[in-house]
Formats: sequence, structure tokens, C-alpha cells
Amino acid sequence: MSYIPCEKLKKRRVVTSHDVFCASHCAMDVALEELWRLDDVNVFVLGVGECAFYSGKVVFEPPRINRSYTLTDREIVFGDMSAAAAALADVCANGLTTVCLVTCVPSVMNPDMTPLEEIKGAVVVKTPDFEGISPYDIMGKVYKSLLKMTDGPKSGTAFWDGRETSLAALRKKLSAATHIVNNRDFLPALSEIGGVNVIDNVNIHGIDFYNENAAALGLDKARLRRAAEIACRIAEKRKPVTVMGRSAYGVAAFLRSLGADVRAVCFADYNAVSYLACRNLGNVAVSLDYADPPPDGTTLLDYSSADGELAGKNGFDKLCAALNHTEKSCL
Amino acid sequence: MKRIAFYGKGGIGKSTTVSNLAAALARKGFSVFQFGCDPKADSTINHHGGKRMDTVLDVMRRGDDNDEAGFIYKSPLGVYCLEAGGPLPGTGCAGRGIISAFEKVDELKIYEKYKPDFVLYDVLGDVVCGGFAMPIRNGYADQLYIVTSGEMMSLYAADNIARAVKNVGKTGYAVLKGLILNKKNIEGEDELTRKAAEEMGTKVVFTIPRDKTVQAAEALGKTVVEAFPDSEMSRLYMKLAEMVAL
Ligand SMILES: Nc1ncnc2c1ncn2[C@@H]1O[C@H](COP(=O)(O)OP(=O)(O)O)[C@@H](O)[C@H]1O
Ligand SMILES: [Mg+2]
Repeated sequence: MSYIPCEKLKKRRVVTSHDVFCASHCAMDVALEELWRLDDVNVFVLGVGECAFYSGKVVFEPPRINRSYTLTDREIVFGDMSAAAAALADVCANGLTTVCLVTCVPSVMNPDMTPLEEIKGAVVVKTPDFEGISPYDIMGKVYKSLLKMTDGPKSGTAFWDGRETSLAALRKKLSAATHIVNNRDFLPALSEIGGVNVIDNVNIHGIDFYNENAAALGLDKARLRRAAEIACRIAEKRKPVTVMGRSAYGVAAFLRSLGADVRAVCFADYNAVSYLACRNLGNVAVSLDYADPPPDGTTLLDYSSADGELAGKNGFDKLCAALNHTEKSCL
Repeated sequence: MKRIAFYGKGGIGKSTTVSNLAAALARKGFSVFQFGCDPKADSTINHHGGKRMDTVLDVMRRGDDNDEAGFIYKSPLGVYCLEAGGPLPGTGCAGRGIISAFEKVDELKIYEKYKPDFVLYDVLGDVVCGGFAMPIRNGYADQLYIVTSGEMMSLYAADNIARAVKNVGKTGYAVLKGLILNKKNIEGEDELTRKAAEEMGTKVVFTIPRDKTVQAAEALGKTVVEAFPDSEMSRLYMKLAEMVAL
């Protein structure tokens, strides 16, 4: 691959040659492991043999249930979901919310899921592996179906970083007036909530965003000032730059907000969120391969050696870490 | 055993042509299977007084599919009829349905048992997914004819089907024998179709006029060959049978 205009990015998995991976997760597997952490949900995987085999390896403590349903040829041909619905109702009978993960084959069939959706306590989500850019993208959709806004008075602040261990606790947070989103899995669910203040601290934003939300995010003013200083030094050189490293699209947004001339970004964490971020950035060339030579005439700001450190951070912390490394290695 | 697939746009006259061809081959003393591969399941109705028969998938759905008794019917002229069938429109997976029906026929070793001289597949021409390419791609048919009129949409569908087998000579792929022009009487139809065939790298190998005898026979729930054996149209279908049998 080489650098391409961000408008030409494709919303699909990026592979360097053939789509060959060794032991990579599938979307169902990602969702299952995430849901395993919530101690008040059952999981019901609707799919074919391999889906049942793999999901069965995750052990749920009783009374929680992790069960799978293997579709037969007849059910696939005729789209008959009645037996699957009966099995799902069985699982739901223990009173816990049951997430029905619909895997690749049934998603291709596009069957009428009403009989399953109508079961009390059941939440049906189509989670075909081929849908997202990364298998982790599916969690946005799963949480969107689990977290529906409730009416009633709103007060206080909720932090969404995924440390909750029950669905009940997650749902309880929905009554907050301000939602600070630190984990991209929650972004699709929360970004649709109206009438409350949702602060997206998953993506990296421009300086105005941080000035405006410094108090809500509890930002250390000194750190913000330092980040701005580094960005200003890059801008003052008046040279076009290529930003390279994890979440380069976000770092680029911040640099631009302080006047830097960012022409290109290069990063490896390609997923539904970074796809959108690149499109929103606009007017930038994108590469997803660190081996690509940066576009002619640009200075390379490469902090990719810190990718591992950045992986565990979100929003502002990620920005600061990226800029510190850039300062050390490129300025 | 010669296995031939007929494809073409919906409503173009595939079932009419294949039914009459099957009847003509049967009259010549051949043993013939007509296998309808359209979820509409109306390919063979004119062998049975216009009545619909249970399909392979109907029988599979009920579960009494341990033998073929429930879905194979012999017409008065001796044509063995079966229909793949399909799920209710908008549900399930019709493509997988076709594949399942083919697998069922294989499993029951029906051709080995009946040893027909001809198997004619009458297939939905709008090849919407891989399932409908099964007959021409998976070693079920040796030859392919495309039924078309001179209308643009019909020729367009014909072109798509021709592309599906372009890989001539590949194992498991049917060989395109040519277009059968079933006329709709539009202006310059013969010439239009001839040109289109050329562009597809094939030829118009047979032309069938539009003729009221077809509707007259249909009204009786019969093929022309059965209802009006001495008619001009019947003679034409006998000629088609000779060509196909060559
Ligand atoms: N050669 C013909 N002359 C007159 N009518 C025809 C002829 N071929 C087909 N038809 C009419 O066209 C209708 C549709 O044909 P059919 O064979 O059912 O199409 P398909 O199987 O391609 O969907 C038939 O009901 C028949 O009345
Ligand atoms: Mg037909």
C-alpha cells in the first residue's frame, strides 16, 4: 500500500497480501469475552459448528449460562428460527439478560429474528465477523443494543471506561447528566443519547475541545500547556509534516488546531473509529503501513516506537504520550 | 446420460421451451428428467394438467425425504418431473436451498437408479447468488443453453449467464452451446439477438416463433407436444429435440 487521500479509504479490513492471519479473534469471540466480564448476563451463540465449539470454551459461573445453538441445513434453507427461539427462551428462564450473538452464517441468511427478539430478557445482536474493520468494532453494536436510554431525571457524571462488572451497573450509569467516554466500545451507544452532555475522550481532538472540557475531564493544566507547546513548536517550523504512530489521525487533529501543516498520517490501529476520524480530518493522505515512505517534501514525526505504551491509553493521555515521544525523537 | 441446463431471464419462456423439449425427447423414446430449479416451482406444471407438485424442499421440510417417492412424478408422456422448490419469499436462503435439493438428489442416487438419457435443468436466470450457479458450475450439467428474446433486459441477463461459464473447458463447468431465441416479436429481433450472441462469443442456435398454440396448450395444462402433436409448433420442438440430442 502507499499513501492515499483519506476520501479513498475503504471501510474494510486491511491486509498486506492475502487475508491470512494466525489465530486472530472473530467478532463473536470478542463479544463473548467482553460479556463474560459482566456477571449478570447469559450468552447464547446462534451459528454453526465452529461458533459453538469455540464459544463453549469460555466457562461461565452458574447460574450464568453460556450456550450455543447449531443451525441445521433445513433451518438455513427455510429460515425457520422456531427451535432456536425455544432454546433461547430456555436460557432466558434463569432471569438474567441473555445476549444472543448471531454469527456469520445466520447473518448472511438474514432471517426474521422477531421470534427471538420477543423473548423477555433476550437481546439479539448480529455479530458477523465480516462486518467490521476490526473484530473489536462489534462491541460498539453490542453495547448499543444493551444500553438503551431510559427516561427520568439526570444528574452527576458517569465515566465509561469499561471497568464495570455488571450490566446493571452499566445501565445505572445512564441516569448521569454528563457522560465521559473513555472506551470506544461505548461510543456508538452514548453518542446517540440526546439531552445529556457526552464528552468523547476516546478520540483526540483540537485544542478548543480541551480548553472547553478541561474541568469535566479533570485535565492537568500544566500537561495541556506542555502538549500545546510541543504542537506550537512543530507549527512554527512552517514545514509540512507526516505524523506516524498509533492514533496519528488524532494527533494530527490536535497539531492542526494549533496551526501545523499536517499533510499525511500513518498508523496501524485501523478500525471503525479511526476510519471515521480520518474521514473527518479531511485533506490528508493516509497509509496503514509503517514501511511506506512518507509523501515527498514532508517531515516525518514518528512516535511509532511508543505504540505499545499508547495502546492502553485513551484520548488526552494518548495525545500527551505521543507528543512527548515526538519531542524526544523528532524535535 | 446428457445433462443440459437452460438459463434465461424470468418469464422469457424457459419452462415452456424445456417442457416441450422434454415432451419431444420422450416422444422420441428417450428417458427424460426435467428438474425445475426456480423457487417458483412451476417448471413442470404443464406435464400435470397445470397442477403444482410437491418439491424436493417441501419434502425435506416435512422430513419424509428418505426416498424420492414424494417429489418425483412421471408425466403421461413419460417425462420424470422434479422441482427443487425454495423457502417462502423473503425468508431463508434460496441459494442454499438449490444446493440442498441437488445434494438430496445425489444422496438418493436418483440418476443412477433411473438411468435417464437426458436431464434438463430449468434454472432461474437472474443468477442472484452462487446457489443458482450450482448446475453449471458444480459438474451437474455438461451443456448450457440460454433462452432469450431480443429485448435488452433479456439479452443483458443472457450476457451475465454467459460470463458465469466463460472459463470454458474448466472441470465442472458447463459448455455454452448457444442462445435459443424465443421470440417476443419486437422489431429487428433476429438481428439484435444475432449481434448480441456474437458479442458473447456464441451463436443463436435455434429460433422459436411466438405462437398462440402455446397458450392454447397451456389452457389445457399441457405442453404443445402433448396437446397438439401435429401442429407446426410441435414439429418445431421435435426439431429442437433432434438438435439437442445430437
Ligand atoms: N414461443 C412462445 N409463444 C407464445 N407464448 C410463449 C412462448 N414461450 C413462452 N410463452 C409464454 O410466456 C409465458 C412465460 O413463459 P415461461 O416458460 O413460464 O417463462 P420462464 O420459465 O422463463 O419464466 C408462458 O406462460 C407462455 O404463455
Ligand atoms: Mg419458469
